[in-house]
Parts: sequence; structure tokens; C-alpha cells
Amino acid sequence: MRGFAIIIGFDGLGWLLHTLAGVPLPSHVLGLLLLAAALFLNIVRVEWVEGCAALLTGHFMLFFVPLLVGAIAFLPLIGDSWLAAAVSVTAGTAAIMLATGFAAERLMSRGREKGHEQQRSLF
Amino acid sequence: MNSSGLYSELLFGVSVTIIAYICALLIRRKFRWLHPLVTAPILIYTLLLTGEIDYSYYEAGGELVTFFLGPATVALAVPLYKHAIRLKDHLPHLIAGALVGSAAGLVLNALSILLLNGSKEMLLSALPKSVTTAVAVDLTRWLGGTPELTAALTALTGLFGSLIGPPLLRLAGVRGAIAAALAIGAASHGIGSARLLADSEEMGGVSSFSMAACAVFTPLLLLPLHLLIL
Repeated sequence: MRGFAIIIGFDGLGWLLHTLAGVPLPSHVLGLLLLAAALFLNIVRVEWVEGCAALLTGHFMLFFVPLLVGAIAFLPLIGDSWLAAAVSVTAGTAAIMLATGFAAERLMSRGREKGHEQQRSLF
Repeated sequence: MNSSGLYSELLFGVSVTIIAYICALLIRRKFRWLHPLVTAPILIYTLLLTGEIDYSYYEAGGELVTFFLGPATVALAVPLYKHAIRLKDHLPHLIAGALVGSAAGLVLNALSILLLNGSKEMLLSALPKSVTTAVAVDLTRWLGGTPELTAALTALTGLFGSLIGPPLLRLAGVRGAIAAALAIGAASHGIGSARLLADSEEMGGVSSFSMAACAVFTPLLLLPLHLLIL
């Protein structure tokens, strides 16, 4: 419960920074950055939050379910541009993923030549 | 609407969501290829249709579940921190990779809509669809697009990316686990990361890092465009 209080607290802090201080980044991302900074600076000990964080991130998919139900309900809004939307969602996403994957792999292999540890293969 | 009505709506929405999610996880045990984020919404939507229940009756409970996306996003700081030592050597590469991913996301999203003569509303709503939903919706409001449309496109993008991500990258010859996780986080945000998180906390951590970095870089890259539109 302490972990949840800390995480909600940082979420709120992010919201305050976004809404009141007008920091032009989304509030949850600000909360994430602040909590990461607090962990690195040893203001928050990782043991306090790891249990609750594992529970929340382990069920990340659950929290997306209502948005996807809403997405089905809002699909008619796509209207005339449905082809553009479909291509963007499929081919666009695939292209973004490949561009990023190849760029990251090149960056990584350059790092490896400098003597960094070997990457393991995931898939 | 009286308070007991709201209470029953919340109870309905929350329990339907959780039960559908558990069913979807059980179904995946039998059919590995059925993504829970495909099954669960379809189960709920089917229930609403067959029971002739209005979508708005589900909405309140649904929004309560969606609320936890916020704390869950913040909680991603923990896997990020825990893998920081392993990531430390790669940090400059990860940041550069995420920057490439953000730029590629904006350019390719715009290009795909423009080439197929999508409306201006579609262009503005689809532009930020590769970043995490909360950010994408924020950005669309800022640019003048339609938030609901963006939410739908962002969710579909994440879903599609998390479905095709691992096989696509493997086929394309991206062998490094870190590079693959980075690409999945950049192209399909939290939904892609969620799938990786379910299998490996480490890869989920890299993917979440990439998602968070893109959520920071994309607004910064859009800033000049926003100034041009206004």
C-alpha cells in the first residue's frame, strides 16, 4: 500500500507540474520521469515500490481494455479516410518499427565494437 | 443520475472488464496466437450488443479501469531503474534510437495519410498515434485533431504493432533483443511494451524506456510544426 501511495503521489506531482506549472509534457510521463529521478537519487528506495509496480505493470493490458472497447465504438468516425487510416495503422506502423529496429541495431553494433557486452537474442 | 445508479454502473463496467480480461488470458493459454487485447474488447462489445446495453452504461466503469493507466505508466520507472545498470552502457544508443523512432513515427504517419488523400482531420489525429495513448490524445488536442479518433487509431496501432512486432523484426533480420524491444516501444507504445512485459521484465523495461523517451521526444519534435500551424 505504501508503494501505491508513492506511485499515485508521483502521478499527482506530474499532473501538478503539467497543469499548474505548464510543463509541456504529458502528466503521466512527467510522473514517470520524476519517480525514476527519485529512485536514482535514492530519495525513494526501490523496495518500497517494486511490489506495487510489478502488479501494475504486470497487468498493463487490463488497463487498455476499455479504451479498445471505445475504439470499436468510435470506428465509424474514420469515415472517408478509412483506407488512409488502415494503411497508416498497418504499413505505417511496420515501417516505423523496421526503421527504428535497423537504426537501433546499427547503433548497438557500433557500441559492441567498442567492447560492450554481447547482446542476447530474445526471439 | 442518482448515486446508486452510478455505483451500479461502476460495478458493471469494472467487473465486466476484469472478467473479460481473465477470460481472454485463459483463452490465450489454449490459443497462443489470440492476443488478449483482441479477445477482451470483442467479448465486452459482444456482451453490450447482445444484452442491448448502451455503451454509455459501460463507460463509467471503463474509465475507472483506464484511470490506472496513469499510475501504471508512472510505475514503469521501476523496471527502468532496475535495468539501468544493464542499460547504462547502451544509454546513448537507446536515446538516439528512440529519437530516430519518434522522427520516423511522425514522418511515416504523416506520409501514409497524405499519400492516400486522408482528410486534414485524419492527418492531425493520426500524426501522434505511435506514442502512448495518454500522450497521443494530449497532442491531438494541442494540434486540433479529434481525441476519440486518436484514441482509436493509437490503440489499433499498438495492437497491430504488438501482434506483428516480434515476427516482423525477426523476419527482417533484427537479431538484437534490445534493438527489437526499442523498435516495438517506439512503434507500438504501451500496448507493445505490455506484451513484452508479460514475457520478460527486462525486454519490457527496454521497450517501456523507448516508449517513455518517444513520449518526451515526439512533443518536442512537434513544437516547430505546432508553431507553423498557428
